[in-house]
Amino acid sequence: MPPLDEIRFIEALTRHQPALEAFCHANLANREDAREVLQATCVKLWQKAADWDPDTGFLPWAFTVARFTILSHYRDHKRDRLIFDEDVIGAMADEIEEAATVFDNRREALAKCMKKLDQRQRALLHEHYTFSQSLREIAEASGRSLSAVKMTLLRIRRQLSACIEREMRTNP
Amino acid sequence: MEEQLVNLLQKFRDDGDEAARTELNELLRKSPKARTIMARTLVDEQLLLVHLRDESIISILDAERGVAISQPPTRPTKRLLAWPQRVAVALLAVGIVGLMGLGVVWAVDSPRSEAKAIHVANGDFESFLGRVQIGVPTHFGRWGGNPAEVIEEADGNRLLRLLKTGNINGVPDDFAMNCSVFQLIDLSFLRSQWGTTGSQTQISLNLSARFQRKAAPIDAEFPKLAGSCRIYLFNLNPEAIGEKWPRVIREDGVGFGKKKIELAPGEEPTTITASCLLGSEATVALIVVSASSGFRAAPIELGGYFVDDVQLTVIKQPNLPVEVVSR
Repeated sequence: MPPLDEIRFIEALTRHQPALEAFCHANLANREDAREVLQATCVKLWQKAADWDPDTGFLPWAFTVARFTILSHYRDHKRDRLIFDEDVIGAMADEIEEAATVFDNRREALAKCMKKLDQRQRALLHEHYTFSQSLREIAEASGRSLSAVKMTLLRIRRQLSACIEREMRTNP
Repeated sequence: MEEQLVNLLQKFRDDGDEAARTELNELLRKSPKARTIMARTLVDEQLLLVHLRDESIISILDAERGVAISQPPTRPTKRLLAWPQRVAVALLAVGIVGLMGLGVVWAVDSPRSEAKAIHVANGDFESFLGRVQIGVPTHFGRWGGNPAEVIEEADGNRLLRLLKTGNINGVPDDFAMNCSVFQLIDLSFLRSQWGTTGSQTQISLNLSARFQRKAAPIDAEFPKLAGSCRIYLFNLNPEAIGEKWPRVIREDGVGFGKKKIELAPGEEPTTITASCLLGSEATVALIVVSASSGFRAAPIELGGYFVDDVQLTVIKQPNLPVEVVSR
């Protein structure tokens, strides 16, 4: 690969890695598996870098490589903890690709929407998503019922999703 | 339906409930709407994970901004940390630091992830007032580029005002698209401090700057001018970079990162960050802040485009999914 193309490849991979991770996460719905598959996908992309035409979009190509890596992951490993059946992954392929393609735009929108959350809402998100505490653990620690914590989290996510959609319509 | 899907997913995640997993898959098989919602929900979940992760780590970086480059860790204890710091410690504990090109600084008790501020001369534009030198600089530590000036606002804050798009080769009325201001940064010290990139380590550079657009006569004609941060990496002496600009990018560039934003007049100031991987061969970074009309035309007076708080951070982190290697 010529040096300039190599630079463009590295730039594209760095820039689109979050979207690629989202693609893996949407297929697997499990953080550890998504990270594992992302790592394997990045290695494969690097090995196949010469196949990428820098004048074409990077993400569609990367998604294709990721899809094969995910299928290989399904067939080779850890069936016990997989959430989606393989045929369901296939059925969701278009929807996942469509959602992951606009990851960067949604990411900018989310940054604005997060500012609208209050401190308690942010703390709950951190406990669950950053500290990886289960909802049951959060409920026990806070003395609230499990269903109340579930509902609070669902509402926050709905609030964020609605806000993101609004932002996307306002600043497409 | 969203609630039902999320509940089923959560049941399996929390309790390994196989019946919930089966029901979830059945729903997704039968309903296109469910598939759309599930895909969007999971992508948004990852979005949230990434945002929270960045937010926590950036809090740490902000808290440690004053630390000198060569200073050792001074606050290693977790107990004394505020919640954002504790969050970042947890990030390390679960091993998810590193996937996003952001690292954790010395305050976190990690021997493997480090972030260091690299000095950008007059990055806050507080130590200089007046016109910036025209042309790409040929020495470290000086701003130079297209017509731009450092101005002082009523509250005493100084910031860079990008004045006019121009041709960097010095042809005054040649077609132009950008108003860019550059600075060369010496990275050679990183070799002695961190050595070269090993197979388990990845080093990246983050360039951030705050952009602001105020009302100007061109607003009606250019409602959305783009602002951008760029990093170019070279293994050359600084004079050669300035002299060979811009073809030096194509001929000698060893790394590149860019982040762009479109601002409308009067929008809130916005900070953007460009990132690029730092290979062991890079000894010089050329950092650039620009405003762009988006097309080549006769030079235009920008008037209301401002940049402030330019910062460069180098981050060393382990276990990234890709690394720069020689091929």
